[in-house]
Amino acid sequence: MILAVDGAAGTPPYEQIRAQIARMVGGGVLAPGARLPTIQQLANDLALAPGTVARAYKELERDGIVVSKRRRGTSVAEAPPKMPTKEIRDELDAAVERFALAIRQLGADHDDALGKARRLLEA
Amino acid sequence: MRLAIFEIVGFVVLLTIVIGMFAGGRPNAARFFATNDIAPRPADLDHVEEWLSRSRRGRVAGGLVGMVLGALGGAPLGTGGMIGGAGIGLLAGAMLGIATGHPRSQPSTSNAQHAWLVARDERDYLPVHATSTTYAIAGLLLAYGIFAIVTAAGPLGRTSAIFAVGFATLLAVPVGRRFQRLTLELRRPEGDTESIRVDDALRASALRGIHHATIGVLLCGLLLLGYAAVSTQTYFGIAHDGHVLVRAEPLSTSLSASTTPADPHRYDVRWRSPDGARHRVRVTVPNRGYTVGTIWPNHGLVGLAYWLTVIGFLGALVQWGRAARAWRRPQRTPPPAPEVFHSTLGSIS
Repeated sequence: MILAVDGAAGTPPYEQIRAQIARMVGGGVLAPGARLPTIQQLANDLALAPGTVARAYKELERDGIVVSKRRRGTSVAEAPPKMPTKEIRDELDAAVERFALAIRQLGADHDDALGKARRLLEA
Repeated sequence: MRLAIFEIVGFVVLLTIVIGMFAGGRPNAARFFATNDIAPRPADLDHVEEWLSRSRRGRVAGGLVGMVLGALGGAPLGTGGMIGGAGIGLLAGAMLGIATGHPRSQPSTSNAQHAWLVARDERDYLPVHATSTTYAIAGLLLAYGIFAIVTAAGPLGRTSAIFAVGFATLLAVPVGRRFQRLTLELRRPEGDTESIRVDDALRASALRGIHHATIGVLLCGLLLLGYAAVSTQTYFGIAHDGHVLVRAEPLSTSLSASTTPADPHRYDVRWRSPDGARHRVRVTVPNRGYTVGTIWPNHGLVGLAYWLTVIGFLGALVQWGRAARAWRRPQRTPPPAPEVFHSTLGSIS
């Protein structure tokens, strides 16, 4: 459950956070009721302003993906909207294509790259 | 200024603590690794040494400043207030020092930043019953304070300020929790699983130190409430079976009651009230059944107050020691995180 934010990407950081959490919830990686880090913790870990994380959480809450309670913090909603299977498959295909393209462009050893990818997936 | 035995003992013990803060308790990084069953690596060793020395400096500096401020603040309430104030200041300052002594890790210089999407919870880092113990002591403090006020033998007088400070120590609970949360929310350094284990152990050590300092402040509050209760459940004067002829205010000093040779039933009672005013009352005692001097209307309540004062005082000292030596204890931390994603990712790209 790693969250990555790329400061050089064209997408604003709050949108990167929102999209990744939505994807993890939609794909079932984050279970209903799972607690998310506090705004301050995530902001510190990602070296972002708390307002950026707060905005991402607010948009997720608006979409019914997470719920925020004053004393219990933010957690995944009990019945979050599921990402359609076709959408998951399309996104997976796109991610694999990006990965394969990057390996080819870098001229990296395929077995080495696949081995590292496998280790990451199994971690 | 005349000091009671327990006040002299209090000063001696506080002085010993001050000397001990400088002379002893030097942290040892190798021991920290051994206690937490973590293999020391040069980079982690440097990080732990920096943390331990910063934490110690923060604790000692915060404790000293707090002790001096607390003693000055408590001085108007008498020697008991001074000792209690010094103890509260010492522990509260140490708590602040531990919280602010935790080093801030710098974000990486690359554009990509990573975070584990897992909430860090203080319950994963503190001993199992830490939170419930804190609330139980806070509850005891509140309940005993109310009980002591309700059962006071007379007007509270200047002791109302001591009661107020005693109750105010309850604020240590939310303040301590806030410091613990701030420590948990600090940026996690980037590194591998072992680095994160070290970071978790350091956080746990800081949280444990703050926890013991919080309990120590509460026990200082208990000390103050006990001291105030002893002062209000006993009084100097002349009384018999609930009938009070003379009653000096609580915390009065220079107490005396003497008869004149001409009339053994006529007493000359003198005292100096806490505001410094001198009082003199001449009273004729109707019969021999009257008690003259220090009157304890209820020995059980006075005994309870006395022992709670002693428990508060000794307990606060124990908690101070535990806060100072928190790094020596094996830490309770969440299960180790799996291999960090971005370190491997970095080698691909």
